[in-house]
Amino acid sequence: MDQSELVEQVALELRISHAASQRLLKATLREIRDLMRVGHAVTIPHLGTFDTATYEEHRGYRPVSNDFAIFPKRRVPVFRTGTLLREEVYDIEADEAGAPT
Amino acid sequence: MSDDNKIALHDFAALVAARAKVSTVEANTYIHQLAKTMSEELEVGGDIHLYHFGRFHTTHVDEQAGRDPNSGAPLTIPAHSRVHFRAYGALRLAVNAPFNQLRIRELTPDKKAWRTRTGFWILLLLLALLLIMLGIRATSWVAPLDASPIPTAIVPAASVMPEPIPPVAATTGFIVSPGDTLWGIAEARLGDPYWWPIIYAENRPELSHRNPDLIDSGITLRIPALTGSVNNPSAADLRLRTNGYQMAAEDYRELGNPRAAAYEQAATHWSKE
Repeated sequence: MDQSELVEQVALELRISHAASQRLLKATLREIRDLMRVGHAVTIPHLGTFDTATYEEHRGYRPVSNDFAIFPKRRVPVFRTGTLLREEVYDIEADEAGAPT
Repeated sequence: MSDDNKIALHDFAALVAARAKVSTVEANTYIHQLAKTMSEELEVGGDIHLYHFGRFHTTHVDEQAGRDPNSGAPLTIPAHSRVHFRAYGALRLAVNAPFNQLRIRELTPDKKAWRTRTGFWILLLLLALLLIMLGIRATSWVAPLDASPIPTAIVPAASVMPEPIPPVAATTGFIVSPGDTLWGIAEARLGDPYWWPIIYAENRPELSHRNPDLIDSGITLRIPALTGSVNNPSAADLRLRTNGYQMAAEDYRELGNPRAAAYEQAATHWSKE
């Protein structure tokens, strides 16, 4: 699903204009980004949590130089799926009901 | 996993509302509907691509052997699907903002790194260009001063009036035409080129350059009359020659021309005799 399709679908269900839907979606994504930039975690109900993880400086293999190198301290975005979504997605491929999580 | 950095939903909705310039209720409704729509899409196995943010997708996980975390009994985890989120570069860069200036450090320094540096090659090119330019400038400066071992008349670009034969203006005068040299004039009029300094000394007050190597074309040179001849000079002629060599030596020295020493030496040698 593309971003424009998502905007369209949400606009349809909320009966708001596409422009308003687009603006709200952009505002949401940018707000999430800005909060993660300062190290906050944002939880969207039903969907999951956008959080950050900090990796300390570590030694690792670098394929470019075919050698080991010291990788600097780094902060990365992580997404933890919400329990509801995880259980809904768990057995989407199974014919019969899968085992509980 | 501590909760101190978490944002409550109503705070988040208020921030979104302020950013999108709508009411908090609208923002709250929108966030819930967005989550619902995205969940529905993921439940049918679709992908969600959000510009400059990231991509949500589901992956298949095969059946695998596991262990019950409570009792430690072996357990078979059935094949299932799970949700993944892949952050795009813009988001990664924003989140990594405090550490973006840090770089990967190689454990063994790369001695051939300069070969791939563009700046190094540009600097080398500029240096080579500078040297070439300097060379061109230097040759164009040095050429008019030192290229003529024999004194030559310079040719002013404006006066290209053709004077085919040097007309004998008077018995003691000589009109300089382009290409004439003091050396040549002395050879033609006096019979010996080595006597050119006496012509120079005679005309020195009128010459504009004070350079024995440069005379302007179009001027009239006075040729001094010798009491004897070149092959059989009188004492006055010899004095004239010594004075001429002395004058040429002085002017050469003022110009920084290394020929000054030889002329000086000749002049002192003759004056001692």
